[in-house]
Amino acid sequence: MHFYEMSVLIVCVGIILTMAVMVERIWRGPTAFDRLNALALIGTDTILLVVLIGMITHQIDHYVDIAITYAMTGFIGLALIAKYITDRQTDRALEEAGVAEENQDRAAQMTALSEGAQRKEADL
Amino acid sequence: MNQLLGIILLFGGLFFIIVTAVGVVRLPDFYTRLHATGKSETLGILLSFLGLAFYHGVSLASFKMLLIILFILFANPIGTHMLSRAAYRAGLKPWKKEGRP
Repeated sequence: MHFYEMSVLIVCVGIILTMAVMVERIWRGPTAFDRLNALALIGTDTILLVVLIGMITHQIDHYVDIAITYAMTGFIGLALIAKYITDRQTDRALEEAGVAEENQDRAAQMTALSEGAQRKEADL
Repeated sequence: MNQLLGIILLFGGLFFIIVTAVGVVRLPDFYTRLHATGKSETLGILLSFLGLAFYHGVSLASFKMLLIILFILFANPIGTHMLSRAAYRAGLKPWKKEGRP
């Protein structure tokens, strides 16, 4: 019986070390999506960690409910943050495209004006 | 005997979760890292909870663990797919090996 509890504790420590390794990807991820991906992974590992802690402390009946709630909340949070980032980045891309078109229009007007001025000078 | 089977399944799940961490840290691109997330993590969590259910025996807590397995089996690939679609629509280009078209 002692061997089993010891191996559950070893798995617990291994999962904590795995989560600590994934923090490195959150720290160094090039894009926001890398960070979000690693964060979702840590959240999924936390579900397992909660149930393992409940198994060690002999209060599994309470901790399983916490794990179910945490799983649902983490999934909804991931979906919302992914949608928010997509909308923000597409808005920014659209805004930049609109600014570029405005600049092109303004440049065309400027060239037309300067051509007109040159023509006037040529007429004079 | 059930407890021994549960501990073996638990260590199998720990192996796949470690594989996931290695993939997330070592792979070169966001989409390849999602490859590690979507398959390996799901299998690791699934094996771990199956082992915990075997370890605990037949009870209400084991039934709730099977419900968690069912939820994660759907939620984790759906979340990965949602994230990859978000990245593709935001304009993130997939990684290509040097010198290949």
